[in-house]
Amino acid sequence: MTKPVGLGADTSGNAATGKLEISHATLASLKNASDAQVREALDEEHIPGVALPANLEKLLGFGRSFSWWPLLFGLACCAIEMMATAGPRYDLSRFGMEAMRASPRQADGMIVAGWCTTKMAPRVVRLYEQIPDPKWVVAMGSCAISGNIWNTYSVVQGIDALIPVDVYVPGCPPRPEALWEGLEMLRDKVKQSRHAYDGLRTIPARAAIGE
Amino acid sequence: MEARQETVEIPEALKVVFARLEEEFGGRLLGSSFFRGELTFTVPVEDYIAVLKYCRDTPDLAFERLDSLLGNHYPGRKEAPMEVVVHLTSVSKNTRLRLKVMLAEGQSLPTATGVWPSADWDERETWEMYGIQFDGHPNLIRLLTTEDFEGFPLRKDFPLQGTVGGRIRTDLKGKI
Repeated sequence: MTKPVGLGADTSGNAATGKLEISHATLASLKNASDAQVREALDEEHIPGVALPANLEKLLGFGRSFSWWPLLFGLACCAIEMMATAGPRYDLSRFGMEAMRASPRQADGMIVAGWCTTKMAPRVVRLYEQIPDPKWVVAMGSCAISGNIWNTYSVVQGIDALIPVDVYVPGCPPRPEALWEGLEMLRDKVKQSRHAYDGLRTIPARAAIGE
Repeated sequence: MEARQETVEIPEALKVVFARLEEEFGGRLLGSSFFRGELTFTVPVEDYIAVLKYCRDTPDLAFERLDSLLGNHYPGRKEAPMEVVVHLTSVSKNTRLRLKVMLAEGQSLPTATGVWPSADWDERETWEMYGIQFDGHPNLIRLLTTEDFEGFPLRKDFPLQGTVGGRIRTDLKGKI
């Protein structure tokens, strides 16, 4: 940009007060213009300061990625490592993730830490459904991923049979560094507004019983 | 085994427990053992409640607390494969006592909820896991598994690996 912002020949605004308007002539000429042409014309003409060439979703994702609040929810021994991750030594609050919400209605997602029994399965689905969109799920530990060695009568063989999972963190249990790495991957997804669930918000547990 | 038993001296309080129980139930008790400081009696089904009440109410014994009540399954013991184990604690005397009852397949046991109300959930769990019936229990329903679960998972003949219900291992219809 070579000329001073807002002082173009076509502007009808008052440079002294800083009030800027786009002239009718410019608007008319932009009616059938491409995105790039519009951006160029606006850059040239009237936008003071910095313009972010991004869509709203990306901006929201950028903001969300710095305050992703998980649900305060632990099922088994992995929850101990999750607490260690949130604690002062590994300090998740550096990334704005330490505020574990005790209510799903205030959370942005959940870390399913540990094995999920058949008795717990309906509660996991209910908690997931109570989290408002957009939401992300981390399956922490081998038991949450696949059931691990508990190929038994009472353990769900991987919570992705119940709810859509975004990031899988393997380990038995994963060290805090591993969970941290998984949460970094999740932050990338949050930034790009990518989700494990599809457009219809299909929940595998409901699909399994034909709902 | 013998050498180990000799190294542990039987505490005075447990000697009293042993003497009083032998004195009261004498020939009817099926056996006793002392191993690593733990005293165990095997009790016949008919005397089960009487022994529990005696242990609780006798001032010399004063077992105020039922620590736990659990089951066991020994398929090798053909005539009495099931077993119920009761752990008692006396806080005032600082003693512990273990009682065992051997049961035939399908044989039921009178409930201990009348002696210690805390036996309620323990008996529910024992029934749920081993299929041992407790006569007179106020609410003998499943505690840990889902309501529609079939079978008794801690029996030795129960399959080790899950085979029903797909990956979710249960039918969630009507539950979510």
